[in-house]
Amino acid sequence: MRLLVAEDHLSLARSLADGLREEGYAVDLAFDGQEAGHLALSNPYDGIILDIMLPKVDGWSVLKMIRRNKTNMPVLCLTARDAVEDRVKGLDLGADDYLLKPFSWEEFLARVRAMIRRGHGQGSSVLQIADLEIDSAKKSVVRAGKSVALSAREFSLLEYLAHRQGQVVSRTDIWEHLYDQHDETISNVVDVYIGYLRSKVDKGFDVKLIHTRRGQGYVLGVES
Amino acid sequence: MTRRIACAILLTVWAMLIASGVTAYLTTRAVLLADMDETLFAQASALPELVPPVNPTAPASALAPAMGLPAHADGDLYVIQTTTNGRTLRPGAGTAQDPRKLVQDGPQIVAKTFSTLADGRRVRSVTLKTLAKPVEPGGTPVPVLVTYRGSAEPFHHLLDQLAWTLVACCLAGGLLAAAIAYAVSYVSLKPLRHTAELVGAIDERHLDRRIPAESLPPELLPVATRINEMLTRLEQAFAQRRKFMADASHELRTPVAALVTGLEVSLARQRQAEAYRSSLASALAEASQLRSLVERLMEQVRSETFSHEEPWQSVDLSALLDECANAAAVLGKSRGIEVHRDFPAEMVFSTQPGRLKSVITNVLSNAVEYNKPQGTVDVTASVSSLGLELDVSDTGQGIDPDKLPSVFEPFFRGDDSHRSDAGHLGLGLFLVKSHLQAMNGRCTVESEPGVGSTFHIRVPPGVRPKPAVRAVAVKERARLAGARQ
Repeated sequence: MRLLVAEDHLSLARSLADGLREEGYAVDLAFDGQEAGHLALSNPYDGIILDIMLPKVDGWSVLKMIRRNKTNMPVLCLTARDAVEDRVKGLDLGADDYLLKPFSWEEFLARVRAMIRRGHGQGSSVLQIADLEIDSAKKSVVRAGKSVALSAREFSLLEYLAHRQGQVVSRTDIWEHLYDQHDETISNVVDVYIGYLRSKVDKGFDVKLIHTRRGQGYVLGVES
Repeated sequence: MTRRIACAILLTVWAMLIASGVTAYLTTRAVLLADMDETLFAQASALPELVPPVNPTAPASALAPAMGLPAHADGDLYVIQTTTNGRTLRPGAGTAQDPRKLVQDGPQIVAKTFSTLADGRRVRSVTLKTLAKPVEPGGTPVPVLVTYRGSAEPFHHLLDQLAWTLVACCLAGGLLAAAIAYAVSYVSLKPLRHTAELVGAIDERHLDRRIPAESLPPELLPVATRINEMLTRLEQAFAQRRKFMADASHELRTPVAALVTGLEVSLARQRQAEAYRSSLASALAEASQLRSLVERLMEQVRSETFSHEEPWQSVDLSALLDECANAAAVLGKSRGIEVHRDFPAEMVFSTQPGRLKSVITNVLSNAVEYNKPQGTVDVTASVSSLGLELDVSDTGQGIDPDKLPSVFEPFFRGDDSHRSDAGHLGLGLFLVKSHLQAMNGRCTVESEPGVGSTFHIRVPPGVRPKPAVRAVAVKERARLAGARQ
C-alpha cells in the first residue's frame, strides 16, 4: 500500500512517514501544496494524508485538484483547526475522513486502514479468499486455520493482491503500490516477493491461490 | 426615579396651591369684609338722621320701631348709643368733640369688630362717630356713636366654604398632579426599562445584539448610541481574542501532534538505543519549540492584561538601544549582517523600560532574521518633545504590499511557512503592536519587496525625568558604552 503524506511540519511529517513505513506502507512525502498536488497526480496512491495548512497551495486546493482529476483516491485530512465549518468544508470538498491534531497513533493507523479499505471497496478489515484470511488491522494471515508469518512487505503485497482478488495485477502496478519514490529499483523485486509469498501461503496446499499470467502479471484467487 | 418625580411634583403643586389658596382666601376675605363694612357703614350712616328725640337711655331695641325700622331686619341688629352733651354713653369710646368738626368730616368709623351673640350668631359691628340731626327744626345736631351690627353669618359661611373648597382643591390637585407625573414618567421610562432588560441579556455569547435606537425617545438616544458603540468595541475585542485563541490553539496543535506522534511511533517497536536517542532529540527540539511558543503567548497575555503594571522610569535610551543592537549583532554575525547605529549618546527617555526593550528587541531580531546574508540593519533614533522616534531599516526580502496590512496580526509569517524549523512564531510584531498600544505609541512599516523594510516606531513622552535619575542614567550609559568597545 502506497501513501502520500503532505505535511509541512518537518518533524511531524518524518514521524508519520517512519511510523507508516514500519507498518509496511510505502510512503512519499510532500512538504507543500504544490509538491503534494504534483505527486498525487503522477502516482497511484492508495491514500493521501493531507494537511490543510500547507504553504504555497493550501490543502483545500490540493483536495479540489485531486477530486477533479482522480475522483476515487481516498484522502484523510489532517488539521489543527477544529472549527465545525472547517470539517464540513473538508468533507464537502471530497475528503474521506478528517482527523484533528494532535491525534493518537493507533487511531491514525486505524483511519488509514479504513481509508484504504474504502478505496478498494472493502467494508471489513478481514479479507477472505477461499481458506485464506487476511486481517489488515492485526496484520495477521491465516491459511486453513494455521497462522502464516509474513514480513511487512510480504504482507503488503498479499494485502494488495487480496484487495484486487480475481484481477490480473501487473508487475508495474505492484511495484507502484509497494514502493515509494525513493526505493531502489530492482527489476525482479516483485517476482522475488511473489516467490516468498508462494512458499509461505501456497506451499503444501492442493489449491493454489497465487497464479502467474505470463506477460501480464499475477492473480490472487481460486482458479476455476 | 418615578416616585421621586411624583413626590417632587406633589410637593411643588401643593406649595403652589397652598400659596395661591391662601392668597385667594385672604383676598376674597378682604373684598367681602370691605363690601360688608361698606354696607354696614351706609346703613349705620343713615341711622342718625332718623334719631328721634327720645330717651337716650332707652334700649336699642326700642329705638327701631320709633325710627320706623323693623326690629330685626334680615336678622340684623343695630344699636344707637346717643349722647346729649357731647359725652359718649359708652365708656372709653371717645371724648367730647366739636360738633362742627364732626359735621365737616362726616361720619367716621371708630371701630369694626366681630363678635358672637349669646345665641351663637356671629355679627359684625361698625361703630360710627357722627352727628344726629334733631327731628325738631332748629335743634342742635347731637354727636352720637352709632354701632351698627350686621349679621356676619353669610360672610363666615362663604369664607368657610371657600376655605374647604381650597383645601380640597389643594389636596386633590396635588395628588392628581403627582399621579399624572408618576404615570407619565413611568410610561416615559418604559424604553429605559426595556433597554435595561436588553443590556442585561447581553453576555459574551450575544455581543452582536444592539439596542434598537429607532424605538427610543430622543433623550435616551445618546445613552443607547454610546452603549451600542461600546458593544461594537467589545465585540471586536472579543472577536480578536477568539481569533487569537483559535490561532494560538492551532499553532500549539501541530507541534504537540509532532511531539506525541514522534514518541508514539518511537515506542511502537523495540529499537536500538541510537534510534531512541534520535527520537528523544527530535522530541526535545519539538518541546523547545513549544516552550518558546508558550513563552511568547504568555508574554502576549501579560502585555495585554497588566498593561499599566510596569512603572514609568527614566531610562538611558542610548544604553538600551546599544544593548539591543549588540544582541542583534550577535544574532546576525553568522550571516555577516551588520548593525549600524545612528543615535546620539546620552538620550534619556521616560518610559516603561521592559516594554520598550521588548519592542526594540523584536523589531531588531525581525530585521536580522528576514535580512539577506551580508545585509545591514540601520537603527536611527532621536528624542524630542514629541517623544521617541526610532527607525529600524533592513536590507531583507521585504514584504509583499498585499501582506503589509497584516504584518502586525498574530501568527503572521512573512514567508508563508508553517515549518517548525523556520523558527518564526509570527508573534513578534504582534507583541510590538500590543506593547506600543499600551504606551500610546505606534509602529508603521514601509517595505519594498527585494529591497528591504523600515519600521517607524513612535512613542510619546511619559513623565519628565528627574535630574538625579538622569545622572544615574548617564553613568549607566557610560558603563555600557565602555562594554561596547
